[in-house]
Amino acid sequence: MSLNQSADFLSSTKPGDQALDVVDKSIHLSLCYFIISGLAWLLIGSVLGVVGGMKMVDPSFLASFEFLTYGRVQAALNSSLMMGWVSNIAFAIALWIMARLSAAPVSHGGVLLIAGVIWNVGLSIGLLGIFIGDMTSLTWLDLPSYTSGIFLLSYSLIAVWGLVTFSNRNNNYSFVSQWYIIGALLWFPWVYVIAQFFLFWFPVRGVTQSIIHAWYVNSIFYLWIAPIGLAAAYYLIPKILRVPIRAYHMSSLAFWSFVFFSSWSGLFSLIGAPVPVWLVTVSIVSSISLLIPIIIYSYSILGTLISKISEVLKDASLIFIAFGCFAFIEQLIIKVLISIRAVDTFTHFTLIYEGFDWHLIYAFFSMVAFGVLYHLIPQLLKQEWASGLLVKLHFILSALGVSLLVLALYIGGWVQGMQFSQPEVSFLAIATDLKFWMQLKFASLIMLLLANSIFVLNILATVAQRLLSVLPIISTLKSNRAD
Amino acid sequence: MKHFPLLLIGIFAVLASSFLVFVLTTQNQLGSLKQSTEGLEQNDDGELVMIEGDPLFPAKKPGLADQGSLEYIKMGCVYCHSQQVRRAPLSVDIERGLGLRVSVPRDYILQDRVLIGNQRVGPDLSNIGLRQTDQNWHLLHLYNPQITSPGSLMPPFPFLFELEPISEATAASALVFPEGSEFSPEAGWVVVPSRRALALVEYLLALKFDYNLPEAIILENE
Ligand code: HEC
Repeated sequence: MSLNQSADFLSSTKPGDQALDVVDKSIHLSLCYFIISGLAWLLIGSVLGVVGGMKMVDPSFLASFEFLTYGRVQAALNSSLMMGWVSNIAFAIALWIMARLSAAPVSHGGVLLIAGVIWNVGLSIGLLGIFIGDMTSLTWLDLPSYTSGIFLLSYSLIAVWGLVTFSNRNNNYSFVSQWYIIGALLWFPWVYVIAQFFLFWFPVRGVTQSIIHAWYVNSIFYLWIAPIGLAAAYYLIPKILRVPIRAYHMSSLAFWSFVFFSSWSGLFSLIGAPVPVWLVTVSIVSSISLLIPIIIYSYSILGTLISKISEVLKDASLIFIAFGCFAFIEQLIIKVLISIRAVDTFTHFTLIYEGFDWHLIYAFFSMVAFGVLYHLIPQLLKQEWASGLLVKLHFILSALGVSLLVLALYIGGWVQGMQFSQPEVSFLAIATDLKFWMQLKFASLIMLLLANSIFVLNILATVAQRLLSVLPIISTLKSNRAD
Repeated sequence: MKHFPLLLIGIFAVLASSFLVFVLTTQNQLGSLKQSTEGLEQNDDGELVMIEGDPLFPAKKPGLADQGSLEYIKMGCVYCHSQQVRRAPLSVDIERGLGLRVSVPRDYILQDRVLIGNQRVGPDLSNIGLRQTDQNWHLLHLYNPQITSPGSLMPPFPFLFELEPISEATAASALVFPEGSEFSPEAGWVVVPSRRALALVEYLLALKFDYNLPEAIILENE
C-alpha cells in the first residue's frame, strides 16, 4: 500500500482536527489511567483466553496446577474482561463523551483517578481470590463477594463526582449519546447492588438465585455494556462522517424500546429450567419485541454507515465502529432467535451461549471501543499513530479472530445441540466431536491475543515518538535554565 | 430530552419494573416453598395437606456431601456441568436417562448455592448418584478422566490426590486402577484420595432426585 493511502486511513485519528477535539486537561490524567488499565486487563484476559482455550483442546495442559484448573481460568477470564477491560474503557468513554457534549469544563478529575485505582485494586484482589478457588460459581459474577465492597466504594466516588460535575451544568441533555451514558451509569450500580444483596449478603434460597443471576447477567450486558457502546457509535459516526445519523428523530423510540424490552427479556436463558414458566414467557415476548429497536438501529445507524461506506472503509476509527455496530445488530437478532422455544430445543446448554457472550463483549463492544481509542489516543498524546500498517493488521486480525471465534462457537454449538436431541449419542461422543470446534476457538483466541499485542505495541511506539519529540524541547529548556 | 427529570424517571422505571417482576414476585412465589411429603391427602375441610409421619423431601444431605458441594464450586465444575432435568418436548433429558422426572423449584430449596448451571460440555449431573454409584469409578474419573472415558474433554484433578508409598494404611484407601492402565502409579506406589476428593465424590453420589414431590411424580415405565 502507498504511504498516501495509509495516511488517509488515519485521517480522522489525527490530533487536533477541530478545536473541540482538544481533550479537557482536567480529565486528561483520569482518561489515560482508565485506558491504560483497560488495556492491561485486555492483555491479561487475552492470555487467560488462550490458556483456557488450550485446556479445551488438550485437557492435560497445565492440569497439575490447581489454581489454573479450567473453571478458575474461565472465571478469571470473565472477570478480567467484564470488570477490567470493559468497565475501565466504559468509564473512559463515558467520561470523555460527557465532557465533550457538556459545555462547562470538568473539575475534580482527581476523584476519578482515586476511584479508578480502588477499582483496579479490588479487581486484582478478586482475581487472586478466584485463583485460590473463591469464585462464586455464578458466571459473569464470578468475583468473590468480599470484593464487592471495594467496587462499591470506587463506584460511589465516581457517582459523587458525576453528580457534582453534572448537576452544575445546563441540564439540557439533548443528545441521545448522553441518555445512554446517564442510563448506563445509573443502572450499573443498581443492578450490581441488587445481585450482591440477594445472592451474597442476604442470599435468597433455591432457584430464585438462578433467576436473579440471569436477570443480572442480562442487565449487565444490555444496560451497561451495550449503552456505552451505542453512545460511542451515536457520538463518533456523525462526528467523523460529518453527516447526521439517519432518522435521528427515531432515536428516542429506539432508546426506550431497547432499554425497556431488553431489561425485561432477562430470563430467556432459563427456558425449561425449574422456574415459573410465566416469567420465562414474559421474557420471551420482550425479547421478540426487541425487533422494534433492531429495525430502527439498522435503518439509522447501519443505514448511515452503508450510505457512506467508502468513507467508512477508509477510516481506521470508523471501520472498527462499523464492524461493532453490525455485530450488535447480529447479536440482537440471535437473541431473538434463541429465545424462541422451538429454537431453544436445539441451542440450550450449548456453546452457542458462549459465542453469544463473545459476540456482545468482543465483536460489538470491544471493536467499538477500539474505534474510540483510535480516535482518542492521538488527541491525548498529541501525536499521530506510529504505524498505519499496525492499525490495519490490528483490524484484520481482530475482525477475523472474533468472527472465527463466534462462528466456531455457533456452528459447534448447533452441532452439539442436534446431538443433544438424539438420545443414542453419548455425551462422551458429543464432547469428542466438539474437539474440532475447540481447536478453531483456540486458533481464534491466539489471533485475538496477537491483535491486542499489536495494538498495545503501536500505542507504545506512538508514546515513544511523542517522548522523542518533546525530549529535545525539555532538554533545551533545562539547558536554558542552567545558563 | 429537554426535561432531565423525565429522563431520570424513565431510567428508574425501566429497571424498577423488571426488578419488581423478576426479583420480587419470584421471591414471593418461591420463597415460601417448604419440604413436602411425597404425596398429599385431603383433610376434613377438603384441603390437600401433607401426610403426617411420612418423610419430608428434598432430604438434607450428609455433612461430607455438603463439604463436597463447596469443592464442586471451587473446582469450577459448573462451567461445564448443569444440574437440571428439563421437560419434554424441550429436551430428551428423560429419554437420555439424565433423570427419572423433571426437576422443579422445590428440589433446590435446601441448597445454599444453587448450581443449575447453563453449560453442558459434560452431562447433566443432577442424577449422577443414580447413574454411577461406584466410588472408585468417580475417584479414578476425577484423578484423570482419560482412565474411564478416553477422549473426554474434562480436565483431570490430580492435585486432589496424593502419591504415597504402598503400606497397609494407604492400600486400604488407594484407587484401584483397571488392569494394565497406563495411568496407574509405578510399582510400590499408590494414589490416595485427599479428604476433598472424598467429599466431592460423596456429594456426587448424593446427587439424585429419586423421590416424588406432589408437583413432580416419577412415572413408572415398566
Ligand atoms: C471442561 C469441562 C468440564 C469440567 C470443568 C468438568 N467436567 Fe465433568 N465431564 C466433562 C465431560 C466432557 C464429560 C463426559 C466425558 C467423561 O465422562 O469424562 C464429563 C463427565 C463427568 C462425569 C460423568 C458423568 C456421567 O454421566 O458418566 C462426572 C461425574 C463429572 N464429569 C464430574 C465432574 C466434576 C465433579 C467436576 C468438577 C470437579 C467436573 N466434572 C468438571 C467435562 C467437564
